[in-house]
Amino acid sequence: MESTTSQVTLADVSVRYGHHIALKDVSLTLGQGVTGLLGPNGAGKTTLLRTLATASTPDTGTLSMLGHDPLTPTGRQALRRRLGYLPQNPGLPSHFTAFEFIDYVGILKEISDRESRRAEARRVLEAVGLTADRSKRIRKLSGGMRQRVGLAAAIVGNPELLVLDEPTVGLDPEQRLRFRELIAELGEGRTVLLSTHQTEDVAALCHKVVVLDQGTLKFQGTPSELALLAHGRVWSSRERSPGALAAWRTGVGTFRNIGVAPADAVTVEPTIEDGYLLLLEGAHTPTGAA
Amino acid sequence: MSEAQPVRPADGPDEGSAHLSPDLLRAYMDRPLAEGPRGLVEAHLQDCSTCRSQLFPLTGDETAMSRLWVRIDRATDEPSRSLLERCALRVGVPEDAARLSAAMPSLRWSWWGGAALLLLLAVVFARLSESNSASLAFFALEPALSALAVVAVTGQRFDPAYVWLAVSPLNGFRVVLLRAAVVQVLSLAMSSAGAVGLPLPFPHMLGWLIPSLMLTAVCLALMSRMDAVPAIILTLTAWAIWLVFAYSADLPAGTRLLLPTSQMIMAAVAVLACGVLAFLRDGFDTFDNKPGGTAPFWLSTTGTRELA
Repeated sequence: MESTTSQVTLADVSVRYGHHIALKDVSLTLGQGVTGLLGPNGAGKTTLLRTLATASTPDTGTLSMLGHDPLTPTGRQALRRRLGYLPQNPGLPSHFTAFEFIDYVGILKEISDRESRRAEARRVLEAVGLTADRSKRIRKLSGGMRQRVGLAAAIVGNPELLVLDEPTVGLDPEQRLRFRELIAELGEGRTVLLSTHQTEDVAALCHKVVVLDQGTLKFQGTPSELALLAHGRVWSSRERSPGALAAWRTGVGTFRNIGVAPADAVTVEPTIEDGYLLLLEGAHTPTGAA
Repeated sequence: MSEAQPVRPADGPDEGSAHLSPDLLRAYMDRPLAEGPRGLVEAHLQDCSTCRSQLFPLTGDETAMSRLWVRIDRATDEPSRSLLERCALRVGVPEDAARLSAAMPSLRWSWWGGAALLLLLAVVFARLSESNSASLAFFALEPALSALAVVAVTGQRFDPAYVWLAVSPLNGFRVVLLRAAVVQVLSLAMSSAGAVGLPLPFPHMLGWLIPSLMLTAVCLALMSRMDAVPAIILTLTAWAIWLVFAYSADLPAGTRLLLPTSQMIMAAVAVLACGVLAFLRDGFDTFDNKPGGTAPFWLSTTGTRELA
């Protein structure tokens, strides 16, 4: 397995929890920029992110991350100095203020000089727009603000690799937009892996997308390549097409169908969501029509 | 403190809040206020543009004002410190180490108060009872409480911020040891004070000391490969069985725990547990206690827990 020092490479990585296989022989390469990770609940996204964040170790397979092997103690420690991780439900001590918590994370990131740590805390809190609320106890912050505290903690120390597990969950549209701007900024010159259920986030942010389902890698490519999977397989109709793998009523009252289009169907431009749904529905349909 | 009370200005409220009196602002500028009033003034100045504008004529120029803001900013960002952290700083512990050892959400006064009360009751019971085995309650309780306290400050599920520690470059094992040591020292100090009241001669009154260290070491060794809850349950169950085995109405304090042989066995178990703990220390370095490919396969677990 070869990789450059800015790359993240996984080869045949498997993770088991008892008899449950959470990841099965996943091989993947990530470069600089924002990569989106899509998949249904239970697909193994969080397991993959935890593995990349060095919170878990795989049962089999090899990893090379920014030139380090995270399966060795020295490689893991060296990698953690260059890594930022935002868990799905970031644990935040409610009795700390936002500033105290970020200062504490600074200690965990080995910034031992007090003034440098405080300056770094101010920098990251400003980056996520929390300067004015930095003295508030975390228990008094809204869900969106807590999510921003988590992101601020993840970017302490200016990490080169960022692993973000559903950072936009529970945010209102305006907050999501702010998060997108911030993540897009962070993606410049860094490797960012962003897990999400929102295909709009992937379309807006990512240069690459990875789809996981049932612990296996179903797709990796550009967002437009994912959309292209559904080329000629998405059509509009007045009624739900019986042969469609998935169909839903749109806002204008017509049905959007995905699957093998009938000969007389009027196909429409596919989106990332269409490609994603086709990929998953095809995999879950016994006939494998997709 | 009375001079720190904000007053409502005659020309109407600003931003819906009361304002600081000119005398208080002058006092803030001219002489050092006590920590409490100074904090109140600075917190108010952060949010109130009217009071900030009243401060400007007192500072004299823009540079002095800027310096003042830097000072206020820094004072506002200064973390609040627990008594333990303040004590650690006073005895010369580096700031980051003091913060790491004191940032333990489960280390509450309520815990220490409850533990102290239980031990006090055990001492009172031992003094009032005429039974030979009256001190047994203290010997049984103290090690269990010490082990519980250590688990409470080192167990993943009791620290909401553990995940940040688990993925940090800091050595998780060292942080666990640091916190365990702080709690064990506090716990032993409290128990030693209580043990003086036991109706036993020295050194029998300290017969709980080695069991206490043993239980903590065993529990930490188990926690390197499993969650804190099953680890403490296993440890306390084994401790209860050992106590039943050690009970003897004919012996002082009603237990064989005080016999030199028993103490040596428990010391040996403690040393063995410390050896196991050192060998399995990598388990504290990941969130699922997996050793990361450095330990033999038979020590690797396949279980996991959800992230906090």
